[in-house]
Formats: sequence, C-alpha cells, structure tokens
Amino acid sequence: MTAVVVGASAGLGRELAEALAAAGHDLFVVSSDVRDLEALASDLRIRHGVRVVVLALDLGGELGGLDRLKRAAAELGGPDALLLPIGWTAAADDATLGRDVAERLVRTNFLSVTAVVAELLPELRRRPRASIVGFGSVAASRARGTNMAYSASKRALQTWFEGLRHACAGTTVRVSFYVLGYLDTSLAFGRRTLLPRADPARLAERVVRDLGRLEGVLYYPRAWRLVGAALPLVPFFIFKRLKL
Amino acid sequence: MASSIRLPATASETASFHSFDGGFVERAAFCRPDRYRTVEAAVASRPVIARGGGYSYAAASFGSGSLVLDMTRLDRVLRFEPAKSLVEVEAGMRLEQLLALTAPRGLILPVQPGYPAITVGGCVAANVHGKNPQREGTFRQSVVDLTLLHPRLGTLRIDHEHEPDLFELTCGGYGLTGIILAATLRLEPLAGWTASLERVPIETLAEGLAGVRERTGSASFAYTWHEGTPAPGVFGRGFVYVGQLPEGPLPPRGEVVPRYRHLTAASRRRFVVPLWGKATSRLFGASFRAAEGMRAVQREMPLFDALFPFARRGEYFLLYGRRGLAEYQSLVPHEAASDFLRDLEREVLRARAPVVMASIKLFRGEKRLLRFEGDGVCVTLNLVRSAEALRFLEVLDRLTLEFSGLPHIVKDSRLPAGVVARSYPGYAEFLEKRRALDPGRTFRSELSTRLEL
Repeated sequence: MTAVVVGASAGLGRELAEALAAAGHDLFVVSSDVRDLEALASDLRIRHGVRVVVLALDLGGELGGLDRLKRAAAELGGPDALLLPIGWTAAADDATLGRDVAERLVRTNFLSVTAVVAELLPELRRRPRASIVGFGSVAASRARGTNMAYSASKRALQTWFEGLRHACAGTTVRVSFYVLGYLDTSLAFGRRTLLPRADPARLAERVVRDLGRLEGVLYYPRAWRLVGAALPLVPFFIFKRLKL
Repeated sequence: MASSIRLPATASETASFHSFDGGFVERAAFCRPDRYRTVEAAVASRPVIARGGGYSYAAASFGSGSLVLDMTRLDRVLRFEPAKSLVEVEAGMRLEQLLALTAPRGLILPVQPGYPAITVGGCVAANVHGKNPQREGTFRQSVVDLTLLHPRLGTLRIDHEHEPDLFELTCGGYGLTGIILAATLRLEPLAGWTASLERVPIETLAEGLAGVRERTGSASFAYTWHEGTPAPGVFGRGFVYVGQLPEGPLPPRGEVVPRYRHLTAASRRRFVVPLWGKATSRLFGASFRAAEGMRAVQREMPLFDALFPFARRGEYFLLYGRRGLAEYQSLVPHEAASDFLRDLEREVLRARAPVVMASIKLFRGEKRLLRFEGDGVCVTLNLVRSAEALRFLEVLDRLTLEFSGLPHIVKDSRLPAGVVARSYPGYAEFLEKRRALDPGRTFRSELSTRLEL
C-alpha cells in the first residue's frame, strides 16, 4: 500500500509516517520544509526499508504547485490512503487577529486539505480500496475567545468531511475524521491544558490499524467524545468562566 | 506579507530540571523542537543550552536563565553505510536506538557510556567514555563529523579538516559552542551478542589496580567494583570484572533493547528518604559479595546488560533518595595511581566518608581543553549525598590536584572553577577560544557559569 501524509514532518504527521512505514507501507510525505522531509525520509527508508518520496509545499501559503502532488504520488504507483494531519495555531488567535495570520490559519487548517483532496480524489477513486483521513479538534465543538479562527477552520473542516463522506458513499473510498483532544505535540506545547495530553504515537498506531476499517467521525482519546458533546450544552454564563 | 509569519509557534513551557546527582535544581523555560526551523528560532532569541537525555551529574543542560532546548525529538537516522561502517544520526538519538539499528547488521559504536538513554549529542558534548577507554579512547574518536548550528556562523559541517578548532572545541565542549544537530559516527564490527564476564575476587584497591592492569590489554573490557564501607579490611574488597565479546549470533531486529523502565534525573528522586547509609551500604556490600561468590566465576549475559549494567538495575540510584548521590571521578597518571589509591583509602577511613562503592578502570588519551581524557587510571567513588560527603569531596579535590589528576566535570555538580582551572591544563585555552567564538555567551548552563567559562 502507498500512503500520502500531508503535514508529515512534525507532531502527529511524523508519528503517522513512522507507523505507516513500520507497517511496511511506501510513503509520499508532504510538508513545508525540505530539510525536515529529507531527514524523515532517510530515517524511514533506513529503519523500515520502505520507499519514501518527499514533496516540499507550503500549504499555508498560496496553495500553488498542487499538480506536483499527483505526479509525485504516481512515482509510487498511486495512493491508496491519504492522511491529512496538517494544522497550525497562532499565538494570539483572538478577535484582533490580523488578516495575514487569519488567512494562513484558514488555509493551513481547512483550504489546504480541501485542495489536496480535490487533487488526489480522482486517483483514489480508481484504486480498489482507498481511505481519506482528516483530523479535527474538540476545540471546534465550541469556540473560545482565544482560538477563534482555529476553531472556525476546524469546524469548517469537520463539516466539509461530512460532505466528503457523503460524496464518497458507494465508491471504494472510505472517509474517516478523527476529532482530537489534547495531543502532546507542538500545537499544545506551551499551553495550559485542562486534561493530560495524549501520546501522538499511540494515536498514529490506532489510525494505521483502523485504516479502511472504520469510517465516520471518531474521537481520540475516546473520552473526548463526551467533552465534545457536553461543551455546547454548558450554559454561557458558566462557559465564559471556563479556562480550557 | 504572509511569508513574514514565523512558523511554527516557538512556544516554551517551564519545568524543574535536576542534575542527575540531585545536587542542583532550577526551574527553566524549555522547548522541544521537532523541526529545524524551530531550533533556529530558539537559538536566535535568547541564551540557550541544548539538552539530551539529561543524565549529566552536573547541571550541564540547564541553568543560568537559559532556554532549555530538548533535542530528543530530533532523533532520526540520516545516513547508514554498513559497508563503510558509518552512520549519521541526529543529536537527539539515544544510544539504545542506535544500537537497535546497527547491532543486527553486525556493527556497534565502540564507546558506550553507562546508560542507554543517553543521546549522541550528549555523548559528543561530554566526550564520554565507555567500558574500556584504554583500548577505545573516548567518544570523540568515533566522531567523523558534526553538523553544528551557531547563531552567528549558521549551520556548519565540521570535522578534522573543516573548522578543525571548532570541531575539537565541540567534542567535550559541554554544549557551549553551538547546537549539535547531527553527528557522523564510525562503527566497529560486532562479533556476537553475548558477553562473557569473568569475576576475580580482590581484597584491596591496590589489588584491583593490579588486576585491571593485568587484564585490560587482553580483554574487551575490565573494571573493578569495590565495597565502599569505610572500615579497615572492608573498604576496597570486591572483584575485578573481565569481559570478552566472543563470536556468536547477532541479535534479531526488534530484540536488541529489552523492556526496562527509563530512569531520568527527575524520576531518580522518587524515594524521599535515602536508603543508602553506612549500615545499609555495609549490608549491601557483604550481601553482594556473598551473592556473587555463589555464582559461577564466568557467566554469560546479553551484551545490552554488559554495556548498560544499570539500565535494568535503576533501583541502585533510587536508593539514594531525593537528596541524591555524590560521584567523584578522578583520572590520575599511571605513575601516581598507587600512591593516590593509598592516600584515598587513608582519607576514606580517617573521615569515615559515606562511600557506597568504588571502581577502577584504565584510560588512554590526550589531555586537552576540558576533556576528561589522558593516560592513566580512572577512580570512581559514589557517596550518599550529605554535608559530610560534600566536605569529603573537597578532600578528593585536594588529592586529585596533589597527584596531577583530572576531576570529571560532568560527574560532580559542585566542582569549583578553581579546581578545574588548576587541574585541566587546557582550561585557559578553552576559555579563550570559547570567548572568541561566543562573546555574548549565547550558550550557557549552570556548569558553564560555575566554571566561569
């Protein structure tokens, strides 16, 4: 099997690449910095003996050069799985967020994913079995004044994935969307978190294990499904006092 | 416009950092980069010091208000050429990760310090030694080249030909010359995965010295273990351990590193009260000798256990409790070793110092800069950390200076600058070169401040 991992060089993306390579899958890894990608690719080739193709693309930027995705994926014989653990948070994501940063947030967390899927979906539909995996956040359950554009873009992404699953119904493409609680990655680093951060390596193992088996909306850690369900129900006079 | 946005956010957290011996603690900001640009952003912004596994007994990877750069996420294999016996890895790679890669291919890093979670960057920065420094030298002899990040010089590839001075300064430079990003290392053939360990009983430190002198040349490694209880006829009793690495099957992939619980400088403090004391040390010493006496004189063990004897015996360090231990390591010239050991024994017995154990091994190398290296005999003492023990360390400072020895900088979190300046002939040269390279002291730690570097 060949998997495409977008946002592969750090955090959850790197763990997914590791878990996929450990399972013997060839990889096509996409990230913004070629140095990180080359280091990742060397490591996976040497330790796991898999083929790894790299592509440096700044998907938070102008979203150009996406046609290179298709060409690079073809080098490995076409993708069977597309995983999109791409994400970014800004330090001060409040109502005063500047346009540049807001645009980058929305591009990185939402538009880049839709653009990549649009580019590779025709290829995926030609495979006998294929998977698309997106990653959202419990933060999207209810926005706060400190993560406004981030939660908005992640909520948009979750809604878009609902549509994608609907669009792929009856095809060979399975669509799953993981809603994540706190993970021990750079996205949560330096932030006070109410609950412990989960190990991204364990999540990656689960995602790879369940690739093509499970679809729909999945929560990780599972207990966060309750948090996600409860947050919108909390009365605002209490919610506004919560430090999450 | 959008390109001016710095990505990703270089957030930091704060945490309490402890020297492994428990002698120094400081709360410091730290970050844990997993991308190169995050490392670059961190280095550009403030005083900083790189941290690997955090196993230095001295506070070499934190302190003095520096941002701690935890390098453990930069742990990838960049190049592996078994035919040339070369491997290039990022600085945060742990020795056990490297061993898991190379051992099934019949290759091993010749110098392996005592704990498997120590990182390659830490090994370079402290120029560590392994089980047989008489034969293998120190870690720098395995280093082919380094990739170093310096805020003023950029990212450099340095070796004996390119920036040789900087290369020399960085090997054993305590992280004060820049951030080590990667290292190319020379490996040596690995004959098999079973070590054969022979035990020879001895009654004194002098017998131990004679034993390692006799056996080191013909063995893969030789070292001693001595009871530390400060009582006549008891202090110095022990064994010479002589190891051989015979030919045999190599370990399969995935079976190189056994399951064991990582001990860290923070988790070492788990027991509040120390359980080592004069009575328990004596009891342990006697029990250990008796237990060893009942075992076969020669036994075999997986090489992992021979290389890292404390990995699966972490309790030894836990028993020192929250207050910690004091380790003193002194490298004395061959010609002075017998007299040094005689005086050491006299002082231990006179002061009734709370020594738990002692050990001896032989060394070979060049005394330069601030490296713990040279031709001589390395003597190690472990003591229960207390006011009494710290006073005794000053006696050991005096003995080391008197016999032209070197105290080991990363083994003692209290070692004063004056002792280092007087014992290390390369102290002034290191200081001068370090100041020329980094006049603003971008890279600093408690160790560098204490030693006035």
